[in-house]
Amino acid sequence: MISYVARRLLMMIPLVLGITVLTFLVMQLAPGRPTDVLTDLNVKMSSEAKQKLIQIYGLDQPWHIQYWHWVKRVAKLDFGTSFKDDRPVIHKIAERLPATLLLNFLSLGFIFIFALAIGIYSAVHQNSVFDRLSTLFVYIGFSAPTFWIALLLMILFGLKLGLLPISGLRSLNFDELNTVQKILDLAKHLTLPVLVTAMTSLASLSRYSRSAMLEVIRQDYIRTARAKGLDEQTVIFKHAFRNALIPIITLMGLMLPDLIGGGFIFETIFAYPGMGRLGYDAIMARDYPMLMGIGTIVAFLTLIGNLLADVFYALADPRIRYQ
Amino acid sequence: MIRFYWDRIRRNKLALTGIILVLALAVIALTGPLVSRAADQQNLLERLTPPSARHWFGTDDLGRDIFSRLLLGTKISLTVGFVAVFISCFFGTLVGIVSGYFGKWVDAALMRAVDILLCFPTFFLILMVIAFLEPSIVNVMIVIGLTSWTGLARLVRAETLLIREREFVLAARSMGLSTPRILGFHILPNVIAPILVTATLGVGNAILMESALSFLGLGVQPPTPSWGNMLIAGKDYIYFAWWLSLFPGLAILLTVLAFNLLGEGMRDVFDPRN
Repeated sequence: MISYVARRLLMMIPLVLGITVLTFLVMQLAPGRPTDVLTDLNVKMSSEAKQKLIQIYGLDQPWHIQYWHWVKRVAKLDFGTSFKDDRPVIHKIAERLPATLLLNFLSLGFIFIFALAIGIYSAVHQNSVFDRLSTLFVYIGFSAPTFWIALLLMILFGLKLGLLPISGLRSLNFDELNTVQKILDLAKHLTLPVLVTAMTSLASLSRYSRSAMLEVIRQDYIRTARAKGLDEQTVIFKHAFRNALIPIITLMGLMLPDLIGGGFIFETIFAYPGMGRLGYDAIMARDYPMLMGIGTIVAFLTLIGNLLADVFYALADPRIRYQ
Repeated sequence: MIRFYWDRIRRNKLALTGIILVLALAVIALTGPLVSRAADQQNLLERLTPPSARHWFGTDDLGRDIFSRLLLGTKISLTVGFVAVFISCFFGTLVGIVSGYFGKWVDAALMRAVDILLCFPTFFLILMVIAFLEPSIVNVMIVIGLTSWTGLARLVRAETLLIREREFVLAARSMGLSTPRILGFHILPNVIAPILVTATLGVGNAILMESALSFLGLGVQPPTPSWGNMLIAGKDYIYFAWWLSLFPGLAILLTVLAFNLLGEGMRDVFDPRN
């Protein structure tokens, strides 16, 4: 197992380098190079901001020195200071990261539990009413713009029924509440964001676990287990479920970038104080240092997420470990 | 051959529904501008009126008829979808075939590049690039196209790996055909089915991306009507006018659903196991 993790870590080195190359390339699109006449006409770019960009990224240097400069910065997680308030980018990200991680972990947990439940039930009761309804849900989940669903849920639960708050993470009087009320307040604020962020992935994962389950149920060892006279409960949960789980773990790792990417739109809609909102504000204000910092951090988070998925995968399936 | 697939499509309910919906949308996209150009006028006396017999889906904050604007937006959404998918299929197919056919270091280099791209959430990558460029409909199509080819590249590569071992490829090579000819005329026709399925599903996905970008103000710019930027008003007037949010979203849902149904249906139709 340790050698497997070590090998996996080694394979990440070229990816980390690749991430620095890609972010470096995106950065080259930024206006502000001294030779760039066009940016003089760009009103969004003050000459002050331009000077700052030149200074942060050493844009007046030859490109290989610029790149080396960038790699060194990334290694130290030093992305310069935000245009907006001159605070270090990495501090601003660190401030927002916990809220984003909280939201994503809750969504992942929600997706995992409900997708498996829906998938297994649909597979075991194939072509039942529930199966057909969940298929319909899956098609809508795939096709609906999630930010629109967010708007509709806000109108329904927030405004018409008045059950849930539609923005922020805490009520104004949060500090005066006792612990139980505080948790309740957080839960209320998190309900809609978690539901909405989870929707698309929930649709795809429940579909996937349904077909994984259907595949496994047809295997010989399931027939054997039934023939042995095991009760249906044991057959489904001990024999079928465990085998269907293996591909699902990898899929959850692959879903991570989409979850984080979705944050940029959902956090904005719900005025949620996380990294996605920070990124959106940075984009609108053309706050380039902030943007490059968030981009790099998001890519690293994805890498770590995929590594964790691979480790779980190896834990669940011994064949992977010894390849 | 075409007859064979047409027979299978006719028997496949998903594909048939998809085709009918997509054709209907195409008709709307082509005729919409003729019918509703005049109705896309501002009328400040009729701001934010709820759905009625006169304005089926109500009017927006500038008194424009929402139904007419939806019709106009159809063309925009379909254009963005098709152009973006064309770009992404071009790159996905090229990278996939080259990677799979040549193998060795070419394959290793291209697939690592794909891995790196996959570390970035597609939507964020698009946002980041758009932030550096100016938001416009052309940029949106190009950026969506250039960032969404990785899945197809992996798929085509896997298919190519299988096909390059077949005898007819060996025969083509021993006849002395040039490599581009082998790739284009012998490998490509055999991987076209998964490409078509991915492309169809991709149109829906590109339309979703465009609407999300336009909703954030980074896509199609007003006053050009796009289903995504119509939803901005929905958010701004969320307290007063639900119809601003409901109908443009339904239009997106229906369109994306049409392409997804068609794509899934085509997958069944092309699947030799059925």
